[in-house]
Amino acid sequence: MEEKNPQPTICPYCSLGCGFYLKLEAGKAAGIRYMPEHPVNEGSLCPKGNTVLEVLNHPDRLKYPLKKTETGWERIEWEEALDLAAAKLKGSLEEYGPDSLAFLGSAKCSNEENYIFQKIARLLGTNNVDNCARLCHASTLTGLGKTLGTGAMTNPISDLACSECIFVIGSNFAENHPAVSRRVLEAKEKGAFVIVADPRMTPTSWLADLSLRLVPGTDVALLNGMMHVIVSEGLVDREFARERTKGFAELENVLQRYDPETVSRITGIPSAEIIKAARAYARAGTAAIVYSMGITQHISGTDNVTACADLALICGHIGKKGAGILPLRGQNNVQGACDMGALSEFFPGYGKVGDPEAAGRMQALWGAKKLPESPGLTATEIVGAAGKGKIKTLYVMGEDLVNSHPDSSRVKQALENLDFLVVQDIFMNDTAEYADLVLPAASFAEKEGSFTSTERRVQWLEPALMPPGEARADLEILFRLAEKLGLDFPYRDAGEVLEEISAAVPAYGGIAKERLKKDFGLIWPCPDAGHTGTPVLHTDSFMTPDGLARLVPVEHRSPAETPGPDYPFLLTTGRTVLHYNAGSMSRRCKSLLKREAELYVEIHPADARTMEIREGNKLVLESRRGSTKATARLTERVSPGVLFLPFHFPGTNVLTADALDREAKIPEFKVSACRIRRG
Amino acid sequence: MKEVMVRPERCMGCRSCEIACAVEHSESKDLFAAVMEKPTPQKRIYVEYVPEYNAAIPMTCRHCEEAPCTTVCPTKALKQDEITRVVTHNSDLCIGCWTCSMVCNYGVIGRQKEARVAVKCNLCPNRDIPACVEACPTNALVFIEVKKLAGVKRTEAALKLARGMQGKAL
Amino acid sequence: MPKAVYADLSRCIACHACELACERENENSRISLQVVRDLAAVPVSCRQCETPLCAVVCPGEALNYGDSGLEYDSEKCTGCRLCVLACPFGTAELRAGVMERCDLCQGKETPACVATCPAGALFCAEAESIGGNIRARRAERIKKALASPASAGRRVNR
Repeated sequence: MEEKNPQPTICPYCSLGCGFYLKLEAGKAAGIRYMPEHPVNEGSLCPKGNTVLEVLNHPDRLKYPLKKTETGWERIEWEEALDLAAAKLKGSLEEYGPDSLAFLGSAKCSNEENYIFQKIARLLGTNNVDNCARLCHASTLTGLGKTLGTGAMTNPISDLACSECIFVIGSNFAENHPAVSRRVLEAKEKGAFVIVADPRMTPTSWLADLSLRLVPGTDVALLNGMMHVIVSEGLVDREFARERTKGFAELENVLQRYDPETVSRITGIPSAEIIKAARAYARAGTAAIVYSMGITQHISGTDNVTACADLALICGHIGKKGAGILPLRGQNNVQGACDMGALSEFFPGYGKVGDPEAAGRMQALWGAKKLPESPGLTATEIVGAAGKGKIKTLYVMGEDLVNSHPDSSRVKQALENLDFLVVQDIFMNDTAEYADLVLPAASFAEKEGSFTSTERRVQWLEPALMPPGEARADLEILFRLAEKLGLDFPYRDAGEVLEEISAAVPAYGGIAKERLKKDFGLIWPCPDAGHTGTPVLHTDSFMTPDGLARLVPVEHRSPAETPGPDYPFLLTTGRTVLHYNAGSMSRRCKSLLKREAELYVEIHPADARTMEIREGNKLVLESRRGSTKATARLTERVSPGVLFLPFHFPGTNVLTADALDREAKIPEFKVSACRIRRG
Repeated sequence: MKEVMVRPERCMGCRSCEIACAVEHSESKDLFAAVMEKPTPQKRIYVEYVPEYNAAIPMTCRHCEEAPCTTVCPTKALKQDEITRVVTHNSDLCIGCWTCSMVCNYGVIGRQKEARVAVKCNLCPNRDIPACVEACPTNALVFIEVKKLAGVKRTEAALKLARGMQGKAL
Repeated sequence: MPKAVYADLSRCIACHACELACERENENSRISLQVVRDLAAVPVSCRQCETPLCAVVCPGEALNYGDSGLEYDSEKCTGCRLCVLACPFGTAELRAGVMERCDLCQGKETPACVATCPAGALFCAEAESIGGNIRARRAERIKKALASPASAGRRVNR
């Protein structure tokens, strides 16, 4: 461990990859120093980042391997724990075959850890390996994949500062990626026009010049409506559409049905505003689309993303500075976990499972005799299969399924149904309660490895601290587990794993530990050692086989569940600024909890009046799946008939449904039907 | 009621208004004596140079109809006259908290160094026409009712139009 | 002249980062974010008044306004809370018999709240400089509005 104090590090929360320094005292993290030289956050830090010390020094951190016995948790030695895990994995494998195993990787773990994790799964003979990207941006991979050729952010965040128009749809970056705001404000100072489309009025809407409040689940209609206006008013970038895309005629055909009046009826946005937004976006010299889970977490998630891509393509707003499509991802290494192939249908580097050439390449690199040929189960399908008894042993690395998957009650049943569940995490979470074996892992500041931020920036993280107790870095745990499983891995540390990653993933070809340590990392694609990275994608050609982007027409579809007489309210879920995802970290920070202590539900004052609900009343929310309690918060941030629940507290996902997008298999967290009563 | 209106296209950035303002708010009301005065007399109008357009604009208190500065002032040192809507400042009550400065949309609340209080335009209560307006050589500043200014602009526009028509007719 | 932490309210996104940064550095947050009717947010902290009412009312001369601004001598403080009552912004608090207020993170180059602000809404400046920035921005907007408008129906910068 190199002795540096303060030690530079990367924030473990969202996907922006903000840098800061940890001040160390006697081997403990004692303070934070800001990092004004970092290109992403320029020294700033959001509230969650400001409280990481509380996570690092928390007394609840897991310190020893724990085994579930009849009397409760029993502390065991690492040797015993890993022997047990390996024996159970092998046992299932021999008795029920490789597809009785499932592995859930972690978008919170490093590239190296996810790479090794999926390699273990695949060498054991199963493609049942996935990560939580399935729940947030799987539709980005499918939607942008089929239009642009790759499902990643096209431009770095700093590019937003030179956009003339920023179209934000389904993203509340002011709360969820606060450092993006400084770029948007920078652009606004230069005169940029900001459009925010969101069913709720959020702090992001405060920054908007035009705020479009659409009905949840009508994004395709809005985007098609805007494209209709652009086509009919002759604002299409004809040269771009002709030379760099395919399929304009088909798109034009479908768009004819989406005139502003029709779209206005579907979305609830006045047609004049749709026209205004379309003109502002199309006429700008450079315009960017920023989207997030408001677009992806629908049964039409892939279609929503595709429509965003179509819009950018017909206006030629792609492949240059200040333009592009910017999906703001969720976790600090969700991009990396996907790049590393912790996905059921992709090998590292997005080689498709089932494509003999891709499989052949991996086979040669890994020296494996045979790799499984059919795509495995996705994160959501793994839970379903476990419920049916098809999955016997599940290995979860750093994820809380119970609180992050839809329909928590079914998830719990599925976990109970497993023969053996291993959870490897830094805290005891609600999923770990169902585990047979809990392995204590190291947090971000206690291990080394590379992390890929949402803007494809691969940064190297160096350890600042020792893990508490007997906790070990995830990579070390995986190495030892692999050894017990009889897999012969030649590496000693993360740097050596990264060398193999460079060979496996073409975009990481020139990425090496020593290079990442300098200048805040590299932005992939970086194919060789002399390459300095590619901040802007698609400048000359798209990543499709012929280099042309595809314009894919999509149609508006209603959400899987719409409010009716029994369940009159439309429930939408999302994030707030003070908490993070399933909350296993943020709900352990006293200073955050003090400000946001419990599950609340946002309800419009008009609805509250008719139901005689007052601020602070305890409400019971019921959906077809279950019921949960929350405190009423009266606010005009939501429209009448709409309820909003943050998903950082246990209970929210008891209500949500596991209706899935056809292609991406992402659940529709954003729309479900629900009813309320005073509790 | 009359206000100091700005016609930015006419301003040539000579800063005569700034000097006239400072002199008017001095003890002696004389340029040469004012230079030596302590505390140094202060201007309340600011000519802002905009490099991108190579142009200058005089900025002075707009005496907003719903003045944010009067809303935030904790001691009511800033007050708005109910009838004339003129925003005045009472330096005896000012505690120098600068909340007014923070919320002013035009940045025209200054600071008096010696007394550590705010200073702002009071529309020269002892004069018929504010000193800045009188000093402006190009009539970029006019003391006029908003309604009337629109009339003046219409007349000017009509004149331009008439000139154009004449050119065509010939 | 003394500096203070000011906010550009058009930029504040109500993220509470200032509060949490302050809480980490000073144990208790000395800046508090108020969200107004879900439409805007205002961070409130000591305004570093130049005629501080807290000092005016202090009976024990624990609070004095000197050359470097407000000075506080906890030895002389009797904990009478008059300063808390007098402060028009509610930013003076008595904790364990000691008055706490924003001291601009003494010993640091930039106060933590300013350094952490993701939206760049907070800034630490002298009162005289605030107006200047706002004036410059306003003047630029006026000039932009007066400049000939971009022709409608066509793309700009192409």
